[in-house]
Amino acid sequence: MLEVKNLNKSYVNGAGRYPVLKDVSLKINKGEFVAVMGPSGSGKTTLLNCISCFIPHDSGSVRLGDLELSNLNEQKLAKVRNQKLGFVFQDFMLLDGLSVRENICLPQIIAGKPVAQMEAKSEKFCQMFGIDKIMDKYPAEISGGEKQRTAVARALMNNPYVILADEPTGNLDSKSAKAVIDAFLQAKRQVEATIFMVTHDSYAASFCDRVIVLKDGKIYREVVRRGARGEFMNELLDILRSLGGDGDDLA
Amino acid sequence: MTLHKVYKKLRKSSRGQYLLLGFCIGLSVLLLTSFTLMYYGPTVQDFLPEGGDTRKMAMLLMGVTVVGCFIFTVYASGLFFRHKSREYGVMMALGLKKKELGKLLFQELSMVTAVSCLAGLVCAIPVSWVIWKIFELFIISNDQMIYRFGLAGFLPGILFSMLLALALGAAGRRFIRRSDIMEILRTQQKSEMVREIPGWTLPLGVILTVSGVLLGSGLPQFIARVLYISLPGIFNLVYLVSVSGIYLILLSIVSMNRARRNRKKYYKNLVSISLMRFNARAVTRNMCVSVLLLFVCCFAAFYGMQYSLAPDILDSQEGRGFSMHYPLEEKQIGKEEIGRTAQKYGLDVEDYSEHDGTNLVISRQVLDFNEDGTRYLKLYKEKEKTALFVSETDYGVLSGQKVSVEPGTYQTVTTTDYREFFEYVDGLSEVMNPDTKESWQLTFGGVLECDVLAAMSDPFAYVLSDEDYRKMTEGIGSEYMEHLVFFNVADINNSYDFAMDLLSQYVDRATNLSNHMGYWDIWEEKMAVQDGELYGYGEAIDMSMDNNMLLGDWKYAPAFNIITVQDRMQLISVYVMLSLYICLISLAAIGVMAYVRSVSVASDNRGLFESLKKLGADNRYQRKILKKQLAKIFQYPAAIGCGLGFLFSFAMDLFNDGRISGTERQALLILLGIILMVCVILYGVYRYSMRKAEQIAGI
Ligand SMILES: Nc1ncnc2c1ncn2[C@@H]1O[C@H](COP(=O)(O)OP(=O)(O)OP(=O)(O)O)[C@@H](O)[C@H]1O
Ligand SMILES: [Mg+2]
Repeated sequence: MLEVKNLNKSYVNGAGRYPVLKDVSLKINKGEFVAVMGPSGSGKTTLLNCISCFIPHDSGSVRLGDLELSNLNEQKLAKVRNQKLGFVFQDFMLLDGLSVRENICLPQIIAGKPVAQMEAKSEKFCQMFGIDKIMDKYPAEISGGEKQRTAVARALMNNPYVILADEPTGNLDSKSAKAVIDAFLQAKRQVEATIFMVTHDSYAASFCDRVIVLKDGKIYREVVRRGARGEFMNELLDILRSLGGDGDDLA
Repeated sequence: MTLHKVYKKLRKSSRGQYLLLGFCIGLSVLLLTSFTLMYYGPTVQDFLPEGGDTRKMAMLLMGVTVVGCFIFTVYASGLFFRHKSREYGVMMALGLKKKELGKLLFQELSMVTAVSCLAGLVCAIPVSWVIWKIFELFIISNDQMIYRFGLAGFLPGILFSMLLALALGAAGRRFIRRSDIMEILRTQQKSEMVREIPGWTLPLGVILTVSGVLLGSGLPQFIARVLYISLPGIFNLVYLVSVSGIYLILLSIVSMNRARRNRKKYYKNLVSISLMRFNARAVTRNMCVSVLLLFVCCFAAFYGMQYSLAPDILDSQEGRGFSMHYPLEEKQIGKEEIGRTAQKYGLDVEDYSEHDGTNLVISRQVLDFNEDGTRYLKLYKEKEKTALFVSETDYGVLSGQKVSVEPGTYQTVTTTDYREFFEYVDGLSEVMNPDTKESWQLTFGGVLECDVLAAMSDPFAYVLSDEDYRKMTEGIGSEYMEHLVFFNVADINNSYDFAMDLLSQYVDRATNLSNHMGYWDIWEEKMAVQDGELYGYGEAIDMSMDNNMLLGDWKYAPAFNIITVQDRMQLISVYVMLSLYICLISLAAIGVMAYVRSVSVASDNRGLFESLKKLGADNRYQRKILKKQLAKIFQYPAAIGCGLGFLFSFAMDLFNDGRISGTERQALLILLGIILMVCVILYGVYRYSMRKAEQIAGI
């Protein structure tokens, strides 16, 4: 579904060139829920932004389905973002001037889909994620968890190939975070969504099928969940501890 | 729900931003157009001499104001884009095409621009009228000065609107073109920290600023007087030295240089310094515009005042309020007609005196340009033109001053307080009787001041001893002789109608003998004819009361002070009004700009103040931080702009003749008063802005 090959990215600033991603390759299959973890500064956000072409990369390829994203023009990229990718940001990025319902409908509005369809679909997601009671409220009037679930619903509207989420639970308390993870799991189960999530939170990551650990811009480990969630979480904590970061801030 | 409706809703939720942008656009168009409507109206245009200094000055000050308005509008659009950036970033992340967004942005921009430009243009008519009416209350008291606006005045307004639209379009294009989405999403936090700047920035800035002004206003005069070189106009570019100096000063204020090096200060001002991090450049630019506008405001006020303070002829003149000179052979009105006309208006004629004067050919030393106009040269002009001579006795009667002139010498009659530059009062060395061709050497014997007589002859009138006068005018033809009439009326302030009546009688009687331009000289013309050259000042003029330029360009124009005073009053009113108008426009622009800035500082940093509150900062601390920001908007530009305005005015006064005369001192004092007033007004705006900003920041 999503395939990244030999991705390189460095930031250039006045003093020099800082390589951030070094030959990163990975693959995500349809319906898979994958997390990326790693110490702060290891390049997780950069990886995500390169995959979505929010920022340009230096070399390597990003394939989505059978489409190579690296050399698409702006016009085509916009279409890919609208039809084949969904985004969830740490700070929600909802438009304050639009109600929850309108925010959710936005991708379909941009695509010019018929009204009846988008309303039905948005209602379905809201029920699924338990935010149907607040559909006519505005972002300023709802909680962080509700905002993020709204964002997840928005990301799902056009049945994207992949949802890219950068620390979707980063700004949330554990209960709200769990609700967002539940929303992802629901999406995975009910509409076969593919989810690629960056997170610091081993608890959140323990719900995933697979976890990719990044260190200094390289893939350090890949762990596939086999047994119970609790065991998987302990395994993750061990790996992170071995990275040198103290487990506390990752737990 | 369609995309169209989404846009509409988004617009509604950020209506304030659209209004702010529209307001700034409309205001700058309004300010400019209301001025040009008046300026290009027939009332003002009829009064201003073609190609005169005032036109140039009005254009220059106007130009600076336009630039100021332009920059603050473009700045307002920057705020607008900043606000829109998140919205656009999210839309792009969700897959809306850049092209589509660009189209939307341009539609919105052109809508806002078109509506507000139109509003500005339309409102300019009533605003211009109202300002004129206000001036009418204080300055003008004359039915010739009714407000007539000129349609041509819309042209600059429309042109400005178009330029503005182009600039906003370009700014919009730049905004939408920015490379990647992350950049657009995070525009609001984009850092634009000015680099650490060296310690000598501030002193250097001050030195550059002051020396730019001194060089620009003083050096050309100095060089002309000492080295006799006239500097080309391009030399005015030295003022750019001042501008760069101002930029350095502002830069060092914004970067809080000193605070940064001193650790204790640094931590004390930490929050203020960090606030600058995201908009240091914008703040500096903004301060520059404020300083410029304030400078224009002060200088315009000063310029207008210089005129209104010129000495009042009616009071300062001890001589006669009415004088005429005309060719001896002209059958002009005399004592009888004057007496009769005065009676008709219930006035008494006083101090009546009449005598003849003679035009003799003079040879003299003058200062003049060389051929290519780059250097001044001392030249001896031999037998080139005539000047008016009177005898000492006649001068005594005419002027009421007792004089005695030694034979073989002459005394030069100048206007009061005359300062020589091109013409030397002692330049005359020889006179010739044009008919007998006999010449006499003369030496300088002193200066006499008599405005009325001095005005009748160029470069000066001269007084000879009775004996010399008789000797030198012997056998001269009457075409060289003039009859001089001086008198006064008892109640001069009510003599306007009498003077006009008399003037029309004088004009009626004038024949071809009197029909000469102001610069005409009988000897010059004769020489030109003799050499077969064309004489430039030989043309006839329209000697009728309908010609409102008659008194300005007529060799034999009678000098009735009351008429001159009235005309001058009108001219002064126009000057003063133009200047005050520009002063008002720039003040309004500064006020609005400062207010908008203050409010946006508060709303941009609402989050910061919230965090500070959560960290336990009390209201006093927060207010202090807000105050520090507003100081950059108000206090510093006010101090620099007004200081510069005063310095420049002072330098102009000092250097144009090397001294500060009484009226100039008075004007400078009044300028100080005006600066004080401007400061009070700005303080009012500051208080209001501060209150509003506190409200917004939630202090
Ligand atoms: N715009 C940028 N310009 C220059 N360097 C950057 C930029 N963004 C990130 N970096 C650098 O790239 C490296 C990786 O950053 P990135 O944001 O990808 O890390 P991350 O893994 O997401 O960290 P965190 O877990 O803290 O979010 C860091 O060292 C960071 O300093
Ligand atoms: Mg990150």
